[in-house]
Parts: sequence; C-alpha cells; structure tokens
Amino acid sequence: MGGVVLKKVFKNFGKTEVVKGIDLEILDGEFIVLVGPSGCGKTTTLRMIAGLEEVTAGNIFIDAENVTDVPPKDRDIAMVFQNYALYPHMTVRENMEFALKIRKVSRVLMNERVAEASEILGLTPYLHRRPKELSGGQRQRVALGRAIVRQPKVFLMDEPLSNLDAKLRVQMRGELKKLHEQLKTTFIYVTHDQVEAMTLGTKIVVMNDGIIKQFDKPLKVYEHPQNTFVAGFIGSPAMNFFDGIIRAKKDSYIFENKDFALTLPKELSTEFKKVINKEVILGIRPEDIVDYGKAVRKKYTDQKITAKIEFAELLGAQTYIHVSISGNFLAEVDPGFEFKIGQEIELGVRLTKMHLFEKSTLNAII
Amino acid sequence: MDMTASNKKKEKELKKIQQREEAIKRIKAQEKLPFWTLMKYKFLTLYFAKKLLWIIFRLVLLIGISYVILFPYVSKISGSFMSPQDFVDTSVKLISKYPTLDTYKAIINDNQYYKALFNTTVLSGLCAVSQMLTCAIIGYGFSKFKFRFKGILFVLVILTMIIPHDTLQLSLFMKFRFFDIWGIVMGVQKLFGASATGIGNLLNSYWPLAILSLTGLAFKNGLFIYIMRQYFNGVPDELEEAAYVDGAGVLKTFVRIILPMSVPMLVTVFMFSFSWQWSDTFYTNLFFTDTKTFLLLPNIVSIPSSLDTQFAAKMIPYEEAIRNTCGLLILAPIVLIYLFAQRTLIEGVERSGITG
Repeated sequence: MGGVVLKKVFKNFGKTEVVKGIDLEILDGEFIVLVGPSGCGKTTTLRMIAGLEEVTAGNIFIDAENVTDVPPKDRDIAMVFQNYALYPHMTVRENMEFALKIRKVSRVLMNERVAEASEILGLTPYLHRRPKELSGGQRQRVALGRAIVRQPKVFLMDEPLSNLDAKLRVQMRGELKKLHEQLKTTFIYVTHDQVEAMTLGTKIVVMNDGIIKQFDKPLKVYEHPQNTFVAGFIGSPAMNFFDGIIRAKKDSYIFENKDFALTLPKELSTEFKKVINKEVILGIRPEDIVDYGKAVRKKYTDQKITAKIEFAELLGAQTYIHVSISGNFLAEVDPGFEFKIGQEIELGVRLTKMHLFEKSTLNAII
Repeated sequence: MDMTASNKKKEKELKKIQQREEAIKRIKAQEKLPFWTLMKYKFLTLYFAKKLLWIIFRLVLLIGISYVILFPYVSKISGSFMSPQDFVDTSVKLISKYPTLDTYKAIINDNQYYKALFNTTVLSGLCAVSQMLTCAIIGYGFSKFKFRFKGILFVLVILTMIIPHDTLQLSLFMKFRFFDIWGIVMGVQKLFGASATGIGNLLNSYWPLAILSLTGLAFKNGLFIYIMRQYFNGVPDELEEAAYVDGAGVLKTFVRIILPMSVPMLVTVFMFSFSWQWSDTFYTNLFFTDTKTFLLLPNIVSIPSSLDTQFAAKMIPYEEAIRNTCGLLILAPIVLIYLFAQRTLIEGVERSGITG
C-alpha cells in the first residue's frame, strides 16, 4: 500500500506536449479517478505512473520513493488494461499465478492467494479455462484477479469497463467499489465516463489538454466546479451556459443579457460586487431550470424566463425539454408535465444553485 | 368448349398444386410417402438439376486437376515397384506384372540410405531449430523495439531475400574455407609469431551452416524474419506491458509470454526451414565437399551396384525409375512430418498472411 505523488510531470511525444506539468498528491487507500475527454492525457499520466511511458520532466513518487526512472517491473504496481491483456496461452489460474511465479512466491502462498482472489471475484469454477473460453465480464474479472493476487502498492486501471455492455458495466462498477473497500489499497482509475468517475472515486481528477482542471471529491466537483470546463464536463445532461453582464440595481444585483434578466439572490451579494459590469457566464444545471409552477411550489424563485420548446427527450423518470432563447438550453420537467413542441413555456430558475464564471478566465466566481 | 377446357386445365393445375402441398405437408410431418412420389418431388426439380450439373462440373474439374498433379507421383510410385522385366514388357503401363521391392532394398542397402537419413535429419533439425529461434528473436526486435537505423537494417533483411544466393557462391565458399572473424584471430596469431591461418578451414563440418543459421543468414531466413515480424506486429503491446507490470523483464516476457503464444508461427517457420534444408543441394554441395564423411540424402541418388542394369540402351527407363525411387525415399520422411504438422502449419500460414 502506498500513496502516489506526481511533481511537475511533463510528457512530450516528439513536439506535441501531452501532459503539461501535473501536480498530484494521492493518499494511501484513496480511489482516484482520472476523467476527461479523449486525448486529454489521462491515460498517458497513468502509463507514466506505471512506468510504461518515460517521463519527459518531473518526478513520480510511490510510497515516498522516487520511481521516476524505475522500470515497471520494480514499481510494485498492478495494472488492468482496457482490452484485459490476458496471456492467451495460459489458463485463468496460470494468468493469475504468473506475477507470483516471477517473484518466486512459494507454491503454498500462491495457491492461497489465487483461491482468495478467485473467491472474491467468483472465478473459482473457471480456473482451468483459457481466456478464449470466457465471456467479456469473466475476462475482466480475471484481469482484476491478476492484479489482486499481487497485493501491490497501487492498482492502476485503464478504462477497464469500457468493453463491457451497459448492464455488466453497472454491476462491475459496484464490484470494483466493494473491492476497494475490502482491499483498502490505492486505486488509480482512468475513464472518460463521468458516471463512473462520480460513482467510483473517493476523489476525482478532471483533466483537459494535459492539465488538471480540478481535483476534489466527486460531489464537490459537481457542486462547485472551478471552471467552465469542469462545469460542462461533469454532470449529464451538461450544464447550461448563458453569457451576460452583472449589474447593480438599487440594493440588488441583476444578471442581464439581450433575452432576459434575472434578479440574483441576496445571499451571494459579496461575490457579485467583484464582477459588477463585467462580462460573465452564468451556469445552471438542467435540473435547476424547471417549469414555473413547480418552481413556485418548491419556492425556488419567483422569476420567470419565457422560451420556446424546440424538442423534448422523454426518459421516463424525467423529461428534458430543449428550449431556445440565447441559443438552446435544456430544462428538466416532471414526466407528467403537458406541453406541445413549438409552444412558449414559462420556466423558473433555481438561482441558489447557480454558478458564475468570469468570461475572461473561464474560472468560477461562485 | 373453350371455357370448359380452360376450366379443366385450371382444375388440373389446382389439383397438382394441392397434391404438391399435401406431399410437402406429409414430408414435413415425416410421414412415409410412396417411394416414387418421394423421388419425384426430390429429383424432378430444376433446383436439383442445377445442383447435379454443378456437382458434375466440379467433379470433372477436380479429376482433371488431380490428374495433372497426381499422375507424376502415381507413375513414379508404381515405377518404383517394377522389376526389369516390366520395362521390357510393352503391355505394362502403370501396374507392374512382376512387382518387387528390390529397388527399395538395393537403394537402402547399397546407397547407405539410413546413414544419409540420419545425417540429414540431424542437420536439418539443428538448422531449423536455430533458424526458428534466431528469426523469432530478430523479428521480435524489429517489431517491438525502437532503435537507430531500424529502417535501413530491415531493408538489408529484405535484400537477403532479393539477392539470389547463387551470386554469393564463391564468396561464401572462400569465407568458410579461410574463416576468420574480421582477421582478428589472424592478427593475434601474427602477433605471437605463429603461422597466420586464421580460424581456418570450416568446410566439411557443421560450422558453416550453424554460423549462418545462428546469425539468421541461412537460406530464406529473410523471409522467416519478415514472417515473424509481421506476426509480432499483430500481438498487442498491452500483453508485454502486462508482463512488465507483472514483474517480468524483456527477456522473461519474450521467453514466457511471447514465444509460447507464437507456437503456430514457430512451427510454420520450423517446417519451412526444415524442409528447405532437407532438399537443399546448394549449401550442402558448397560446404560438404567430401560426401563420404557427410553423406546426405541428395547424395544417395545413384544406381545401386546390386541392381542389374546391363544392356544400358534398353534400360534407360529402368534407371530413370531407380532414380525416381531415390527421390521418393528422400521425400517420404518430409511427407510424413507434414501429415502430422499440417494443422498447426495451416494455422500459421493463415496467420502470417503469406502463402507457401
């Protein structure tokens, strides 16, 4: 077991900078999820931690030991690959034993560890089979088992669930979470799926363009995104953004653009003072834009925005309607709510949950 | 009249259709039909006629091609069992009237078949094993590692495939007749005042072929390197990375992960190398000038002394048959091995994407 520290880590492939100076401190036993769009450098970061990719500049520490130039075989890490990378000519048992054999672990201990791991993962009936004879989910488990038997300091996982079907993915997600609670080892997990990131991580690292955009607990990232990238990336459907200006009016503050004006809640006045008459971006999640009736009932607000319904997505548990003013945005209404496409609708905005970003820096004010 | 006639016709047709449908129903219900009805519905159809025509066409084609390919073998095999009388008898074409095993016995005894077989097996086996391993290592290097001048080096490998080896005959011979490693040994010898001969004459030993095989320079090794490289290109990098993370170094990964999973490819390379070495005369004639000590299979093609081949003018076909029998005896072990290795071999050839 051990923590992982990255200090000013850079990675270039030829002239392209892929990772641009990452600082990260992962504590022992944390489940860290690296999340970001494809090409953001998350996999490269993971591979650098594994030692499969050389570090251009900076240092990596595992368990307080500088491993920047240590080959992967001596780092005491285990990795689960996206395509599982099981050894095709070995049985499940041999696959799991391989790392232990290399380390010359005694036969008794080896049997014990394999039995333990296959018990946890439900692989006991398949130990004599070859990877070819297993289903996708079972292969995934073998890949996990191969990592578990090692009892490494750190588990690294590179999009391990992306080759599974939706149902199996949810199930495996639960099992991974359980596994982490059982083993209490450091997990570093790469995914582009923000649902996985939110549900699995004790902390998540949102990356874009080779830099860390935010590193925090999942709920914190969701509720207080530090910039528009994180705000737009985390949360499904994505947050709505409105360009506009903050103005002072008598004793209150107003967010104003060419289509509508909203009086902002008084509790946050001190923040608004800093950006008076400056261009800002207002961010509101779809679940905080509801039909006016509900907004009043729930005492979210007494202000209306009127917009035209473009089309709707009925998901069953809720209905998302795409409406337009100031470009398109998304609102959430209850499934029973009646409307017609093309109709004007009155919407209420729950401004206590608003996010405000500086237009010039795209960083969060609230 | 017309009306009734056409009506009758229609009725008849209807009846026919009904009958047919009924028959189909009964067939589907797996009832037993009268034999002729069954035959009628089964064979008197356009579909069946087409199928039959295709079968006949295929048969004719297959027999034709088989004749062209197989007839030489058949005639050689049948010739090998013939005695001299058969060749004088004009009524004998393919099947011997006076069958005998004398030809085989004579070749095996007089031409020292077993000694040649043993020598060739050992030589081909050693060459094939060392070439297989060497080419696997070189191919792996070309496929998975980045190093300087990789492109140029690979062009050199391709060059060894392109340049006809006959052009190297003299230089190869000279190289191994007066063998030395860049003149180093000779230099040392001169330094100590001994007679400067270098390592010396390596002809008539296994050394020349061993050196060529172990350095991946023997016959067609460029092709083997290419085949192995292509195969390793298809092996996902994650497998090796998984092995590295599991604690294996480059060598362990190669020996314990990569080699075992490449068995079909290795068998293919082994078989190619083995059979080509088996029937090779270029290198063996070049390096084994003394056939008495190094009797190899191609050397056994001669007329055994115990066979009666007088009256030479008449006996030319007989001599021909004897030589063919030698050929059959040379080929037989290889054919046997191919029979056993066929499945893995086909798998390997398919995977390499290279034919023959």
